[in-house]
This record gives sequence, C-alpha cells and structure tokens, in this order.
Amino acid sequence: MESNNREYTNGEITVYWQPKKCIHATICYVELIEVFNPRKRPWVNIDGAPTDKIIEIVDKCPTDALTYKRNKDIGVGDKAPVLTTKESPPPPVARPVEIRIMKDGPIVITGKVSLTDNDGKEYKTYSITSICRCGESGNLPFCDGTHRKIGFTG
Amino acid sequence: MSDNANPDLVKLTFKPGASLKVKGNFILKDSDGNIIPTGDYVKLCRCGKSKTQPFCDHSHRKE
Repeated sequence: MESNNREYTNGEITVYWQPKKCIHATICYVELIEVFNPRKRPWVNIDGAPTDKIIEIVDKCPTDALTYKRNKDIGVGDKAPVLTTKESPPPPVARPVEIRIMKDGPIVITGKVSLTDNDGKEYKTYSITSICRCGESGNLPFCDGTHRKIGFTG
Repeated sequence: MSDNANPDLVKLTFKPGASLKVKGNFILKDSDGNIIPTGDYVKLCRCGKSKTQPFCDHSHRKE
C-alpha cells in the first residue's frame, strides 16, 4: 500500500516514487539508467546524475509515479507530488494522439482514444494508456511491467 | 457510448491474443521520439513474436 512509496534525496531535491501510479512507460530507465535502474535495489540512485538531469527525466514521467520537489526554494518549476489547482489548467489543445512504441516495453498512447475488444466491451482509458506488447501481462490488454521480468525484446 | 459521436476520436480495438488495431488521426513514434510513418490505420503487435515489430505479422496465429 502506501508503505511502498519511497523518497530519495541528494540534498538539493527529493524524488518521490509512488509505484501504484506507474504505468511502465519505461521513459525513466531508458533515458537515465544511471539513476533509474529497476534491476537494482534501491532502484533509484539519486547520486547517479546531476540534479538538472534528474529533474528533466522526472518531468517526462507521464504519470505522478515519479515526482520531485526542491528542498530549498520550493515552488517554481516543481513537479509537486500533490496536484495544485491554483493555476487555471491549460486550455485543451487539439493535439493528435501520440502512440509511442517503447523499446522492449509497452505501447504508450497519449491522448483521447477509445479502446474496445471484439465483443464491443469498452475499456477505460486515461490521458496516458499503456498497452502490453510482450503478450504476458497479467492485466491484458494493459501493461503491468511483466516485459521486464521475462526479458522481452522488440 | 458510441464512438460515432466523435469522429476525431482515435479508435483502438483488439481481439484477445491478436493485434491492436489503431484507426484515426495519430502519430506513431519510437522510444526515441522518431516518427514512424504510417497511414491512418495500423495493426500493432501485442503477442511479442512479430518479426516486423512494432507491426503485426500474424505470428500470433502460429501457436
């Protein structure tokens, strides 16, 4: 439960890890294995890269599974773990749906889509939807991270 | 809920054990963000066995 949440700090920033929110987009470890290495324990090595680089990758996490805050001057530029509603949300922009094929990982779909099986059953989709490519997920059609356990390549 | 209400909505459909069919206005990219050119309809592999990744080559039928 909540106890699986973790915090990692290098003094300048604290990175928060909320595994339940992870959709296994794999961006963090594909782009910065020096810090985010799921084969190691702890899987986050906060000293593996400069703070700015870590922030860049945490900002790319499509969910709030990875967030951070600056330990000083909290505020500007933070991807805070708690969503703030002080600022008005950006106006909806009609961006085309982006479908990203993650190397050795899932299909990550960003944008509004419908998902149905051949019986017409509709599956709930979110602003980011992660679809299994390895065929072994325990939560098909969605990715549950199994590709990593079985060493899927493709 | 009918998809027909919103023609712009990208539609994903699948059969258990088979590909993910994608139809609509979308951009396909690889991990690095490079665009993979497609039309408005693709079948993406979900079984992990395709030799033409990320596209389906019907390898799932060969079990």
